[in-house]
Amino acid sequence: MMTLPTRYRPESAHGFLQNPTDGAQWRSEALAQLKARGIPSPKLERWRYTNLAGFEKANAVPAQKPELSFNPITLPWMVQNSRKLVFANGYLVFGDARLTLGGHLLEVPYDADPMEKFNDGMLWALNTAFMQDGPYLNLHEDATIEIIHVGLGHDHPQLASPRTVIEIAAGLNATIIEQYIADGAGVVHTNAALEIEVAANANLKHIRIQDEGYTRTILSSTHARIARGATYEHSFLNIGGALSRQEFWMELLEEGAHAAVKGAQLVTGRQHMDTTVLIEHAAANCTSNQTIRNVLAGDAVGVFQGKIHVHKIAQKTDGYQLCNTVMLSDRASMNTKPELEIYADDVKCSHGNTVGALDDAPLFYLRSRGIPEAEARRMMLTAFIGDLFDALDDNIKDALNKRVAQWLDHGIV
Amino acid sequence: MVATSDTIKQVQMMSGTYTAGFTTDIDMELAPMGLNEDIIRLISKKKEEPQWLLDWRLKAYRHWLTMPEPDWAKLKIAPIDYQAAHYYAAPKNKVAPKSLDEVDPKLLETYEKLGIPLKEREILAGVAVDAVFDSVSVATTFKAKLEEVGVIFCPISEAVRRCPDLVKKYLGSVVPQADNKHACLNSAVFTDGSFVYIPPGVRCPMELSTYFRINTAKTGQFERTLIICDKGAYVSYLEGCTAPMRDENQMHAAVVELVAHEDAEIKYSTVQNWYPGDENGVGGIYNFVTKRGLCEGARSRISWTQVETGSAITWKYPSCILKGDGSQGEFYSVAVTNGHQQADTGTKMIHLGKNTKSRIIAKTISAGKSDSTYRGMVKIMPKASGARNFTQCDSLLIGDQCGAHTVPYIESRNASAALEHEATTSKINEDQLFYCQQRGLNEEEAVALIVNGFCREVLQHLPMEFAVEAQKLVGISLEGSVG
Repeated sequence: MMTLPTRYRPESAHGFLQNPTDGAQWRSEALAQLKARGIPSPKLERWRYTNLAGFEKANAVPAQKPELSFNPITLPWMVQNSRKLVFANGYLVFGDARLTLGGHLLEVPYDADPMEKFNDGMLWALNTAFMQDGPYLNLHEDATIEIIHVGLGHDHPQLASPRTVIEIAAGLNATIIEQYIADGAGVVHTNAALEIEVAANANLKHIRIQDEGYTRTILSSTHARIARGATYEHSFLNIGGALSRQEFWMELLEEGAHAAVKGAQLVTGRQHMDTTVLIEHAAANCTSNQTIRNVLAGDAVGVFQGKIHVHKIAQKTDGYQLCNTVMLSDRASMNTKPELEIYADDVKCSHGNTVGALDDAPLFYLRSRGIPEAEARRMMLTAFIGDLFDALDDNIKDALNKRVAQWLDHGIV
Repeated sequence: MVATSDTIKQVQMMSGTYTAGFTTDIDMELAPMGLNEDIIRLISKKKEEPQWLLDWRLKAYRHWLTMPEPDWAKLKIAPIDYQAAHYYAAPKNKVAPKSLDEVDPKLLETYEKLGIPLKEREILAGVAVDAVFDSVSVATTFKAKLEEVGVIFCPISEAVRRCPDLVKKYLGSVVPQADNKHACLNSAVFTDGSFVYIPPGVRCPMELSTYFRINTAKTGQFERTLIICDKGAYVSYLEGCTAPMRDENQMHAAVVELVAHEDAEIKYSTVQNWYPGDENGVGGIYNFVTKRGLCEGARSRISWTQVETGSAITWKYPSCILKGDGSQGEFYSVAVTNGHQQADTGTKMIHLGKNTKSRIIAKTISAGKSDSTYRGMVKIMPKASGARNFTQCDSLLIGDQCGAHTVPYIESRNASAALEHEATTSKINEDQLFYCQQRGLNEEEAVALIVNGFCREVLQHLPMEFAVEAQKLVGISLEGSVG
């Protein structure tokens, strides 16, 4: 068992963030693990469609705390009376320090590297070795929290390693909105790690917009543990990054738990975008839902790998997964791997996957009604993304749909 | 519903589990145990092969030594001792038989037990059979009648002598030697198999068939099948396999290559019933098979149908390379695992030509403590405009000790291609089970009936004689899985 700090408890006396170069043992252990195994390569099954060679070659240095050149109030906040945090290159620059890892004393971990299990936990180790700060949201009352991660570009590539820990106490309702946005032209890559714990009957809505710079590598690993009767619903909109990959590992640990991932990947130019999901049904009577929509233009490459793993004990599981892709360009490519691994017999699991161009028939219909082709295509794509964000609060839904509309406007159609 | 009532009768009749598990006592000529270049030279000499083929084999062997075991499948395979087997085993019996009358009656008896129509019954069944016993082809029936229309159907070792140009041209053209470790081993040590050539415009007048049987202990079977269908020709080919019960793991590493030219159609059906090992998972056949078809010409068509009920481990991915414009590939599969069996099977459809179409229907049934995986790839290359694919994978789990997995890879590099994939996993419907039992079927019969209904879409693509056998097999394979 590695003793990397993957799960924290604030009550310990051992602090690590006061001195990021403290040479703490877990940091050097993570670094040693990273050195031994390197950055994941397409030789690993879970990485067969995404190649980090460019990221590795960039030789980024750990990011330093930057100077802010704008007023955080001007950032695209979505909810008026939410609690707000701004991190720049992984460091807190705006908001309540008590809501961050840096504001707490942290203990030595109790859990092994969660990504160890898949033999490709290098990014988690990379985050552990270089993490600076990040949100620590240990919630005991209902709350809406907005976090904006700003990537401030640099001449020499830097690497931001924000670590997020979210713990929702039993029975609470919480909404957490995360945005990753770019500032400045230079390069700062991001390798985020998130640990989420949803206690019994709690309800967490997690929204993530990744709208980073088109020259950057944006990586994230999210590990969620969901208890009895609790729900964790993740909605995402991925637009930015030259190369981006988000990994989810959701564990449904007790009966009645529910997990959902819904989101869109909008990919254009020479972008490469990867969403990899693993949902583990480790208890009976749990449900999960994955709905992914991809729109690919230009020379873009899209990847979706989704897996539902049903343990022997997880009878009465209901697992669903759907991935639809529209290809707007002949040079784009889409790779999907929807996987089912099932060991219980009384389950209902299904997945569906489609890849294709926009349908000619409705396009023709709209044009025959006098709608110009570009407008007609736009309407169809808007409808295609359509209902993904319907279940969210109006102001969040509107903000997401507006961002989709902007993307469609910018010469995509 | 004649066929289904037949199934029930069959299930009732068969009280034992594996019915093809007898051995035939025949004098065998064995090569020394182990594998090295001398063994390969010996095989080549026994087969009276030309120098080029020996060189080809040796090249494969040398490459094989450097290759790693494929480890990506979801299978637990004990390390294989390649030196602990005989790579050549032939019934010791004079020179090649000229007619069926000269074939060792004991051998014929064996095939009689298996129910292959080798003699007069062949006329009724209208099936031409090439039977492969361990390493050599024992008899090929109906040769004369086939030759009338110009069809060449003979053991591959004979084809090497009769039509060396064809063999030289096509051998290894679809499955290269270095494709994977098992195919490479086959290239080095293949002992026999069938060769089929259908000349342009000929519709093969009957179903061609091969029956494989591993009989001798400590042998492997490495057969190689090569089917070439020239312009506008058609052939339907059937393949069946059995082996005696033994407590060791025997290896079956076959290679099948299909080539379909313009407007040609090849239909390849397999009923695989190798010995699956006993109830504790001891023994059984390792079935590591590389099957691939090349739709070379425009509008050509290749269709794979397989019923996989046997083998301790099945590692098999019959694939189609859709090179010709408008060519079509099909894959219909039923995989049944029970006891401690493991199956990792599926297909690859590589779309290269314009307007190519593929269709995949895979049904997986897991029972007992078995694990079965569908692993398939659909790949649309940039030039395959207008390509279409439809994939459907359904899994059925019987009992809570087994696993059923689906691992599809879908890669599209052309915007005008349309791909659809759907997969479901479920258990046997309680209502259906109750209804059947209420009508007087016992639980086992009811399960067999429901499972046959679940597989129907695939079984109906099998030629008539095989469809009946396959239905019975599905029922028998699931014995002891309920209750």
